[in-house]
Amino acid sequence: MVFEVLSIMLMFIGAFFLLAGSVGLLRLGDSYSRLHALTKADVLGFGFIVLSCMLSTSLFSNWLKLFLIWLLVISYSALVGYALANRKKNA
Amino acid sequence: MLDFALGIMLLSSALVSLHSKDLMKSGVFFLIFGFLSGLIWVRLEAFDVALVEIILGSAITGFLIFKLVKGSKRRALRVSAFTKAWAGLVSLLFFLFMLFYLPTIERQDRVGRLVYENLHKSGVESAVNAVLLNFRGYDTLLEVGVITLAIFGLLALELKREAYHWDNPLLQSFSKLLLPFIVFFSLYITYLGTFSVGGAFQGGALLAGGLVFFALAKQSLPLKKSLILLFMATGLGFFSLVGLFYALLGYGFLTYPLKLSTLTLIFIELSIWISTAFLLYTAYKGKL
Amino acid sequence: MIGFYYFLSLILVVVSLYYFIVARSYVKRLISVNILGSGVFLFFVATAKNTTMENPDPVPHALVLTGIVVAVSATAIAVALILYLNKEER
Repeated sequence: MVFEVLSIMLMFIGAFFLLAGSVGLLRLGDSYSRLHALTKADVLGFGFIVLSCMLSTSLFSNWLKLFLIWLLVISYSALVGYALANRKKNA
Repeated sequence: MLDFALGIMLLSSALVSLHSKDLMKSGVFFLIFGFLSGLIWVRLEAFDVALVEIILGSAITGFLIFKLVKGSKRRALRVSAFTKAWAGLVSLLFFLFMLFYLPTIERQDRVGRLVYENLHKSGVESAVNAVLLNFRGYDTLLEVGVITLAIFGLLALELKREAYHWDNPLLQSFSKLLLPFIVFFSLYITYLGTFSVGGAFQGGALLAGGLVFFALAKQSLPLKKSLILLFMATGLGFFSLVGLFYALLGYGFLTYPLKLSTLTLIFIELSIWISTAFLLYTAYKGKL
Repeated sequence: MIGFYYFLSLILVVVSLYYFIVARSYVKRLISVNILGSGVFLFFVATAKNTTMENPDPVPHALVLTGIVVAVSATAIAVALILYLNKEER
């Protein structure tokens, strides 16, 4: 019961950060700050959502898979942010 | 509610992709369209289809379209007012016909119940893979044949154009780091197909995605060309040889004996896995 | 809900059919063929869900799975042919 409430709360926090990232993407002035908003909020919001999914399952194998997904997504997020910024700089 | 939101997003991305004057923009919106349709397959409980759609239908098709946009000259085809008129008329007639036909489709059990009743005879526990590899084996064999022939036909054109790539040290080291994990994970997905969501095409699509990512960083695989050609032909060759083998033993073409069916299907899955991956990788590169 | 997906697939097919005929470049025609295919796949997958069983019907799923792979290889060969056409005209 406690875990379920905690899981839903973490899901909402994650969704809030993702929403903030999307608002930043739409409203900020230049490309670099847009990218900054998107990648930062992505890592944080996605981390909270993965944490909430971890709380809602009790299998160890599922925890491991979620942790690997989190690791992959944050590394991809960093790579994509770097790639877009580099492309913008050299364009 | 979620279904409506996803549907409206899907429709608007499709419309932008179809209507935009900028070709690169329509390619990007086509990528978004593919991803959203993958999410819709998840909503409709078609997890196998979602896996394949996100990797193949969205990512690899998107890269192919980018390659085409980069490579083709901007040359307008002639479209007369008459063509527009009959196109509109045909579309309208089709729309009206289907609008009256679609509500008459009834909610009923089709062949699905038959599949679940005979699942224990197939050798795998996943219903989709039972249909794919055992119950409708002819379909899958011919489909593997179609993609093999398509890609060999593509190689016959002998295009010299390099695939779209980005020469960057960070991307290169990242793709090198990631490739072993992708190979392992795609094998895991292929093995998972015997009892859950996953299977040969899903794993092959995943490996093809990893190889395309590898090629995107301007790296080539340390494999001989003949080996890649062998991998490409493995699926069709092995599948038809197994069918012929059991036909000669008297079971019938693509009919497996009950005791050996799981083992046979695992080997067939592995052969289709490797050939799908290398076929789609070659499709992206356009040459060996 | 199934009715909504049927309607969505119908709209996708009709719109992309129209754009396939009137599009002025090969790239747009290729994209509209792909979207037309996606509309047909959506019809199939929605039909798989339109059943009284608790699990969706696996046969349309298998058909759509093979369909997507064939669509990708068809797109690949179409891309190669269009590039070849450009090379010939130069």
